Amino acid sequence: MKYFFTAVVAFAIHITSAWAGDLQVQDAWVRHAPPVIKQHAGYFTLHNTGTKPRSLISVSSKSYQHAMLHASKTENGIATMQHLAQVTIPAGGKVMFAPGGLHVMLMQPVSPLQVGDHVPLVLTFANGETLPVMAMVKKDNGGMGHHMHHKHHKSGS
Amino acid sequence: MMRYLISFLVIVFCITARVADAKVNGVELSTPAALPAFALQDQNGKDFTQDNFKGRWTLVLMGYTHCPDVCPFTLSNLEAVIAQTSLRVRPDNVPRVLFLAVDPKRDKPVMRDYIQQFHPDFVAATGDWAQVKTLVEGLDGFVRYVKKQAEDVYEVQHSAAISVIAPDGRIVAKISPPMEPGATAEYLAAMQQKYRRNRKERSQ
Repeated sequence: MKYFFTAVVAFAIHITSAWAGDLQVQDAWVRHAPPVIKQHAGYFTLHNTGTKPRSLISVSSKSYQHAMLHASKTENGIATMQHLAQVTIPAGGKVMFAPGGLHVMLMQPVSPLQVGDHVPLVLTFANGETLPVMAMVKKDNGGMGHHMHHKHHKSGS
Repeated sequence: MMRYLISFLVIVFCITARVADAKVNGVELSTPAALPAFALQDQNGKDFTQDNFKGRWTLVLMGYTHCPDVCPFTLSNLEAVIAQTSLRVRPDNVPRVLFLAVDPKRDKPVMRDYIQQFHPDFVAATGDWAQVKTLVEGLDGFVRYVKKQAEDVYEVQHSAAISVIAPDGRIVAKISPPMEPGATAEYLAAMQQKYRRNRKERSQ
């Protein structure tokens, strides 16, 4: 039974993590929404273990017609969204895409998505490198989002 | 016995220390503000007016159903706040959550399905733009439509704060999300106590 759980955990880490060279993506997920809602948000943590800063310039998904890099901001008490041309991940650092902050705005799903479904994302960087990621559709946990203590899986080592 | 007592004290200390640590970004109004008359409809098509605020606590959030990030995040956050508050106050004092949908054109057809996914007791309300605007302004809020990127693809900027409405229908506080659920529940429970105390004093 113990092995079974280990296998499940290993599989879970496997499908929510991706790495290519110096870049790693962890905990990729898309917020579940009822089928009537056609704009979703995707989140992940992007690590750069390299010695140079890297820039994420776009995200695409074959599950959606459009995807954009966005940042939610509250300025003077007003919630706004900003379209970003790129997001830079410092050398040896990480950038968290998390509720209430950076997110991938995913528009017009090709088909309805259920909790537990997997959404393929392709991250494209300024040097042309691409990183495929599987994001799981799940419900928001309602805690504190980017202020919350996220579990950090160590993977890719 | 001593050992149990010490463990108990340690647990109590940890709980209180955690609550004290977490801050609530809230502002209590020095003079609770009355709301103007408005006529909206809830997700089931029933009238929702200023009278629906009477007799119970309500937390009002402005938002729109096509908002991908902040609105669903804040609604999930409110669900956690409500769960924590229900552990601290009497069932009839657990606040109701009202999602004031400020993009009536896109919100009206979908808000029933939308609001249900967060909590069966959450209420969504919208209506004619003039009526929505009346309540938005009554809450000292703000809504702005941002230039369309395409037909039905546009952003709606709106106030982020949650308004706390007391059972007399007046706004007593504003809370800025994100909210730490436990600390916010403590904050709301304390506010309710104060409200009851003030009413008692006034009626004497």
